[in-house]
Amino acid sequence: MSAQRFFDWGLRLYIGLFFVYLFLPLAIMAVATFNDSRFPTITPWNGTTLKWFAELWADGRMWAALGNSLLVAGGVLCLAVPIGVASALFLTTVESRAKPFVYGLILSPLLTPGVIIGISTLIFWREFGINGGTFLTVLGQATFISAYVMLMVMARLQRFDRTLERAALDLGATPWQAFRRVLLPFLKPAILSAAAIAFLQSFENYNTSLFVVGYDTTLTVYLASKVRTGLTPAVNALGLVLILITILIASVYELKRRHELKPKGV
Amino acid sequence: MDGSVILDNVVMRFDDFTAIEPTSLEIRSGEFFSFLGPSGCGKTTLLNIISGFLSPTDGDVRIGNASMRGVPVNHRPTAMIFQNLALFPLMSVYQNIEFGLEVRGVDRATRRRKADELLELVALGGSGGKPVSALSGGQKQRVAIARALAVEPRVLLLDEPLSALDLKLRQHMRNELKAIQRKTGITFIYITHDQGEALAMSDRVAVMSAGRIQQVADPETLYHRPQTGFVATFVGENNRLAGRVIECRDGRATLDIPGLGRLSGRSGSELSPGRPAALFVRPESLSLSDAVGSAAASMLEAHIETVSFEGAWRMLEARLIATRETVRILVGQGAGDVLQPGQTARFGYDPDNAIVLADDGAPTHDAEMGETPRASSQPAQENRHVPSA
Ligand SMILES: Nc1ncnc2c1ncn2[C@@H]1O[C@H](COP(=O)(O)OP(=O)(O)OP(=O)(O)O)[C@@H](O)[C@H]1O
Ligand SMILES: [Mg+2]
Repeated sequence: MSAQRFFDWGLRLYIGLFFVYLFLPLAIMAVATFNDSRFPTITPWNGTTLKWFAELWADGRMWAALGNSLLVAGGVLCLAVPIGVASALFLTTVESRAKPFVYGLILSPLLTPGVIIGISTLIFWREFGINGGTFLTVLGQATFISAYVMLMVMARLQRFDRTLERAALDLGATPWQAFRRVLLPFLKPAILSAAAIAFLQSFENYNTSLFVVGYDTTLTVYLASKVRTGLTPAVNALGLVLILITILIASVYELKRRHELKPKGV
Repeated sequence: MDGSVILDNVVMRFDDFTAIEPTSLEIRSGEFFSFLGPSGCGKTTLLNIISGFLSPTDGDVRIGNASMRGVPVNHRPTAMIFQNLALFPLMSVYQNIEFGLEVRGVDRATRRRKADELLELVALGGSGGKPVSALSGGQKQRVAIARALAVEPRVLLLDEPLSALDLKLRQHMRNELKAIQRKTGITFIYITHDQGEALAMSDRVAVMSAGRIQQVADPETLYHRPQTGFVATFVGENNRLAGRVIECRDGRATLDIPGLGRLSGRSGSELSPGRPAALFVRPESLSLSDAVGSAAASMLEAHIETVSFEGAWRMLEARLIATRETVRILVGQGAGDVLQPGQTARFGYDPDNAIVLADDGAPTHDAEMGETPRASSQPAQENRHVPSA
């Protein structure tokens, strides 16, 4: 009895500590945004201010970098999702001796340090007269993000009952109709979460991007460069804005999900 | 609408393994035709050849007298009911049934009308809006049938569709399938390893073993006049006594069976004196000797080992004293009462109720399964044919 209670309390304490560990830095960062200090800190507290939001708003280069990050992430989505899905389909459905080779080829960028991917992308394309910029950033990131997409889609594909496809063909569907009406709806959740992961991977990527961004700086690369020139709480303001946006998206998603889970009248 | 299916010397080889030996067969339009055989004998392979999922190594399939060579699955006038049903899990009942029409570009109103008709036919009226995951096993079965019928196939192919259902439901669905077949007039090609199912529903049955068709006949003929030892032991229960042919005349054959002497029965296949052959007597054709009473009856002496009560009947398992072979005997209540394990009794049979078949060295069903005659498998129990005479 008391052992059980001890365990319960221990578990609660552990979970509490875990959340503190997870969220305390975010909380401190958020609070520091409102401190009237030249450095992002909460001690000493020099008075409450909103001026860092104003400074963030006025930082044109930062907004350009954010826009570019979003552009890159969009480009990576357009490239990595089709490549990942196609290779997953190839590896699970086609009987071919090329399989292990293709599998290894797609996965190898995951095992390669991001720095190497960045440098080699740059060197390779320079041969063709193409220099660092948004285009190369998209290519460089897509090489390893495709692998994430492939792994996630493959995990779901392996649970697909192939007789469903045969049933569709048997009922007169063309192979394309069978794919679109039966396989694709089954894969949809995996493709959507793979796309979300791909977007985040691209958005937060630093070490590959660093070498290939050229003048089209992404947000991560821009922020890192500011560390050298001096970081102001404007960065915290940006962090706070991003956190709020994330929370907003997550809430909308969760509300929508709960709505869909409700039993509908037949 | 010609729904006949002709297999013209069809052969299927996977690498060096021959799954279907050369097979020729004609299935008539509007027939309920079954392929019956043990697991792995090539039933699904044959069905896949008819539906177009496999192209035969050699030979041709003709449906409605048109060659199917080079005709892909989605252009054949067949529809399949899969072993696991393969209903589309993310679609509603309506969407499942309408799928085949939708991919053919049939308009929404016509599709829905057709789906409602079919749901009526399979006794599921009003369930169209349900997701398939909300259905019971039997209901899923009906949706699968409706979905296949929606495309108006000339031939419906069914791959053990009832195997996942419990006994009661299975028996119910049997009647229903048969009724649907009669109502629609579509050729049904039904695959099963359950002889009871095949015998109860089919107009004709092809018994298969190891990629080869053993016999094609109506159920009565299969039961009473099997042509091979395999059919004799696979369809219903049979006691097999092996020996050598002594004489053969007037449709009667007499064997010399080591330890048992001369025993005779109807001759069921080409027999010539001196050749190995086997006598097959069904458990219900054996009876206690005093009950036979005729001089023509042949006698066997056996030691009773087990008596199992089966309602109106008792199944005895007895060991022949002469050969140590096990035989099974079905006796009525009166006679059964006096028999106890450990007793010795004499059993007889009327030679008209026994059949002699050439022993060509091919495995019988029992030998193949490595069991003494008739394991107490469910299908065998449930479908024992007991002649009323
Ligand atoms: N693609 C294939 N490659 C190699 N061998 C195969 C292939 N498909 C089937 N076989 C073999 O052919 C034989 C017949 O298989 P099939 O699936 O037709 O059996 P079945 O009679 O339907 O059995 P069950 O009652 O268990 O479903 C089996 O020995 C199987 O191993
Ligand atoms: Mg099968």
